Amino acid sequence: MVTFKFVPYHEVDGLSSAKRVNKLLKIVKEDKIVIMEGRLRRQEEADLIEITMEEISPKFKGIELSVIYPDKDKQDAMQRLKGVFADALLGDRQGLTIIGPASIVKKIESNPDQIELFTKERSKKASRRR
Amino acid sequence: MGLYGPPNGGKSTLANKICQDWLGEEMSSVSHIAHETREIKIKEQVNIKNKKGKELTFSLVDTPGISTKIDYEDFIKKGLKKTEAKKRAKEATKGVIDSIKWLDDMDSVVVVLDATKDPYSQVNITIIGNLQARNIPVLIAANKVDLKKANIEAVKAAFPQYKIVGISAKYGKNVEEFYEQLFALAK
Repeated sequence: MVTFKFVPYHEVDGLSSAKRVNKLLKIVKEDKIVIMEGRLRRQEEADLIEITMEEISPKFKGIELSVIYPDKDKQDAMQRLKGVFADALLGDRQGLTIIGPASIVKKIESNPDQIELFTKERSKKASRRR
Repeated sequence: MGLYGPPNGGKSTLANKICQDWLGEEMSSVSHIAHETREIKIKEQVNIKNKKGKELTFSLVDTPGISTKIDYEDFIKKGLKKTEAKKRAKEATKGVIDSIKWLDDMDSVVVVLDATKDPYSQVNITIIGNLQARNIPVLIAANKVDLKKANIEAVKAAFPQYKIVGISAKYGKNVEEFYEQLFALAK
């Protein structure tokens, strides 16, 4: 069985970068796949990788990470304008962040049209389309 | 100038090619097993020249591949003994941490990607996003174009805002164009 844990943005909004990253990693280390509303800041993504490396052990083999975010290069002028307002209002709340334990998630493939999450447990493919 | 990217993208092969071409010596060891480079390696005073006679001198930094997961059992599958595999995994985790810490020390970066693989991996996006956030100039080297599976157009589609050069560091294909782009990167 694969467990997904949804983390709404308001749960991490007021946290410092370190607390935000640690909160997400704690869930992942409980063998759950995090689906977080919004995205981490660039530096936080790097911090997440860094802290993950510090925690690696024979039991915890790391994470799979993917961020779904509107592809601005494929938007028309009006969509981009709306995006500017959305960014100003919502900040990092736009998009979705998926983080799973490497012992369960084999890989997450993302391209502009779809996200595919491959699990190790049952060797089956669960596909999510945005 | 740093060489960054995921493991086994060809950073050390490219570092060796640059050093062989301009210093007449190698810089790093290479292997088909991932995480061969587990420590930051620096070659100072690399001086290159272009066709117009311009010269560019830089310190070349070969970094360990950045990854979100490291499983010692993967090294066992590649033929390493258990103790050796665990040691390599431990060193590899430290290498990833060092690579990230060194990002702040770079004046410019060549991101070396394996052009036969999916360019949309989050590691690639995270590396390039962090360089962008730090205002560090980036050149993307889409490596291994000698292989049939190489898809440089996919790399271009994934990172349309960056200059991308398709190369084969192993066989020296298109490295002249790569060297020319280093001058533009250093501006």
